[in-house]
Amino acid sequence: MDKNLHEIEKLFLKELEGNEEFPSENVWDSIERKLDKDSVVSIKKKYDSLKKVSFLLVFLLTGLSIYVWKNQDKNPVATHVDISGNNKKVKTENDSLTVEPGTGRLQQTDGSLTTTGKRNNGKLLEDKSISKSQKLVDSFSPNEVNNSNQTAKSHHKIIDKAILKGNNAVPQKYLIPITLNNLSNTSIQDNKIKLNKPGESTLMEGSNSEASGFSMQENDKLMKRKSNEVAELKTPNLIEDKNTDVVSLGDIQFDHNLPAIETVSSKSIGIIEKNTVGLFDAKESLEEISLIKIDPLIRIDKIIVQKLSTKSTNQSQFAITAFYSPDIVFHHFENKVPGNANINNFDVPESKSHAVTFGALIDYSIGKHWGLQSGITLARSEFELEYEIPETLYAQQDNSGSIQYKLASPLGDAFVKPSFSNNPNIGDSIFSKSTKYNLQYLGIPLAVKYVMNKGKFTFNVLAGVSANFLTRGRLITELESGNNNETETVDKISGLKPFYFGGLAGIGLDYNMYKNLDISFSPAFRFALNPINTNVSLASFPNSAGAVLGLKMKL
Amino acid sequence: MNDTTIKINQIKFLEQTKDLIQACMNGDRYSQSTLYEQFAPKMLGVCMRYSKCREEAEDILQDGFVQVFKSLHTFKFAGSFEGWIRKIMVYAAIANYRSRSNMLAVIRTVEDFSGIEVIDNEDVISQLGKKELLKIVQALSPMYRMVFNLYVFEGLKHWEIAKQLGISEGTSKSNFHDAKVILRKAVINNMKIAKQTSSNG
Repeated sequence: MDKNLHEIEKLFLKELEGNEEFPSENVWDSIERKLDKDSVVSIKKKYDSLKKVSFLLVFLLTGLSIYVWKNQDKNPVATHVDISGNNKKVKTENDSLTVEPGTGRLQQTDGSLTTTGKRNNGKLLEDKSISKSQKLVDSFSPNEVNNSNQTAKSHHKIIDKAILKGNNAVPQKYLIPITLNNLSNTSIQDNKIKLNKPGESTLMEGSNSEASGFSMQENDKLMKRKSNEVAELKTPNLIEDKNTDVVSLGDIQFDHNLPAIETVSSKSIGIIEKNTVGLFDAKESLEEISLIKIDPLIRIDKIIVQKLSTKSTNQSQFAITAFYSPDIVFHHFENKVPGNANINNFDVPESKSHAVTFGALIDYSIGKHWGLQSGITLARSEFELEYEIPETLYAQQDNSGSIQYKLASPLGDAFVKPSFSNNPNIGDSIFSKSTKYNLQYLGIPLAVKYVMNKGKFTFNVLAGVSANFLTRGRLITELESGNNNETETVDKISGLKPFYFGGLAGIGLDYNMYKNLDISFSPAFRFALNPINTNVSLASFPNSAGAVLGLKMKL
Repeated sequence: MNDTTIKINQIKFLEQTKDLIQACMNGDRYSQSTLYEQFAPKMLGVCMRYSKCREEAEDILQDGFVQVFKSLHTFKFAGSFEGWIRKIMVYAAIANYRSRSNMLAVIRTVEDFSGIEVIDNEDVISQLGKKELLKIVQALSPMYRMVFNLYVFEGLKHWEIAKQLGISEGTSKSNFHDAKVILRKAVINNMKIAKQTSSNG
C-alpha cells in the first residue's frame, strides 16, 4: 500500500486544514438574536444588585430619619460664661456673647438673640434671658430680677420659701423656661461638688459632672477681689426651650453679697418628668429639685437636676451591634498536586458570585482606646464555576456502595444521580457545564479594637480571628442531557471541612445618632487562614471584602 | 516585503484585534459583527468537518460565536485569539454531537471493508478537490467523524478524545482506525468514478 494512503489522515490534514467557507447571512442574524436574549438575562442580574443597593439606602434613610426625628426639637447649646475683670463673655455653641463693661449689655454675633443684663454698682448681677422668641422670656420678667441685689435676694427667698414649705404658689414671674431634654441631660451630684473656703479653688468636676456636661471652676483669688471675678461655667443645654430655642441664663446669678454657702441641699437629685413642658414649676419639682447656692460669686439658682438614670451616670462598657454586610468573594486556589491541570479548567466570573454576612457583635471597652469585639455572624456565599472544557463525570461507587456519577469539584467530591440516568453502570459518563456552590458558615469572631473619639464620630481599627463552622455546603451542577440541560442539587460535598479558621481586619467609623445609638460603617476584609477543603487536589481559601453597615447600641 | 515589515504588520494586526476584543467585551454590536466577519469563514471551515451538512455546520458556528462573545472576558491575551476561537468552535461541535447523539460508538469490523482495492498512486488525493474530500469526511458516521477530526486536526490524544466524548480510549483508537479504512475506501471509489468520467468524456 502506498504510504499516502496508509497515512491518509495526513493527506486530509494537508488539504482541509485551511479550508474556508462563507456562512449564509442569516447566521449573524441568529447570533444577534441570541446575544440580545442573553442581555435581557444580564439585566435581570443587574436588578439583583439594585435590590441590594436599595436595601442599603432604605437602611441609611431609616437611620437618618430616626436621627432627624430625635433631634428636630433639640438645638444643643453649650453656654460658657467667662467673667474676667470688666469683660464678661458668654459663649454658646453657635454664638459668642460679650458683656460690655459698664453697661452689662451683652453683645453677640447672632443678632436674633435678645439679651438683658445690667451691671449694678460695680457688682455683678446679671440675669439674662436670651431668646429668639421673646414670649417665654417675657414670662420670666428678668428686669425685675435685675434691678438690684435686693430684688434678686428677695426672689430667691420667695422661691426658697415656696419650696421649703411645699407651697405651690410660686408667682408666675419666677417661673423659668426649661427644657425637657436639657433637664434630662443635666446632672450633678452632691459628692462631686467641692465647696471651698476662701483660698481654695471652687471646682465642680468629676466624671459624673463631666458626663452630664456640667463643670465649674473658680479662681480663689476672685474670692478676695470681688470686682475681678473669674468664673467659668459650662452648662450645655442647661435651660433651653423646647419649642422656641430659648436659652436663659436667668438661673445664673452672680451676687457678691450672698454668703459663701446660702443653701446646699445634700440630696439635690431629682427627676423632671417628661410632661414638664415649657415652664419649671416649683411645686412639681419640690420633691425633686433642690437649690444649690454655692458661693458668693456664683450662685446657681434653680436647676441642677439629675435624671436618676444609671445609664447616664454609670454607662456600661458593653455595646451591641447588629450589622449587615454585602461581600465580594474571591476564592484563592492552591494546587496541591504539581502539574494538576484542573486549576486552569474553570473560571469564577465576578458577576456570578454573591455573598452576604450578617449578625450581632458585642463590643467590650478596655480603657479609653482599646476594646474587644466578639459575637456571632452568619456568612452566606454563592459562586459559580464555569468550565472551559465540560467536566466529565464518571459513574463509580460512593461510600454507601451505590453507583453514582462523581463530580470532582475544586471544593470537594460530590456524587450525583441525575434523573435522566438514574441507573448508571461503572464507567458511564455524563458532562457538567458549570457548578454552583452555596456555602454557609456560622462564625464566632474575636477581634481587638483600637478606638479614637472625635466629637460624634468614633474611628476604629480592628484585627482578629474567627472560628467558622460549616452549616450548609450545597452544590448545584448543570448536566448535559441530550438537547436539554438538567440541574442537580447535592447537599453533601465530601471534601469540605466542617470548620476552618479565618482572619479579619478592618477600619470603622461610628456616628452617634442619638444618645446610646450609633450608626456604624466599616469596610472589612476576611480571609481564610487554612483551606476549607481537604483531600482534594486544590486547596481553596475563600476571601471576602465587605462593607459592614450596622446599628450600635451602647448598653 | 521584508521580515521587519511583516512583523510590524503583525503587531498592528494584534493591536487592532485587541481593541476589537475590548470593544466586543463592552457589548459593542458593530465590533462584534466585525469580529464575526473576520473569523467566520475560517471557523465555518472547521465546523464543516465536524458536521454532516452545511446547515448543521452553521448551527455549530452560531452556537460557537455566541459562546465566544459570552466568554471573551476569559481570554487572557496570552495565546492566539484565532486558536482560542477555534477551540470554542470544536467544543461547540462536541456539544452538538452530544446533543444529537444518544449514540454509542460504532462497532464495525475490518471485514466490512474487505473489498477495499489498493491503489499505489500517490497523487490520488491531489486529484480530488477539497469539496470532494470534505464530503468524504462528512459522510463518516458522527462518532468516526468526531474521533478522526479531534485526532487529526486538533491533535488530541486518544485518552483526551475518550474523555471529551465519554468513551474509552480503546474505543477511540478502534474508531479512528475504522474511520481511516472508510476514508481510504471512499477515496478509491471517488477516484474510480473520476476515471470513468474522464474515460467516457
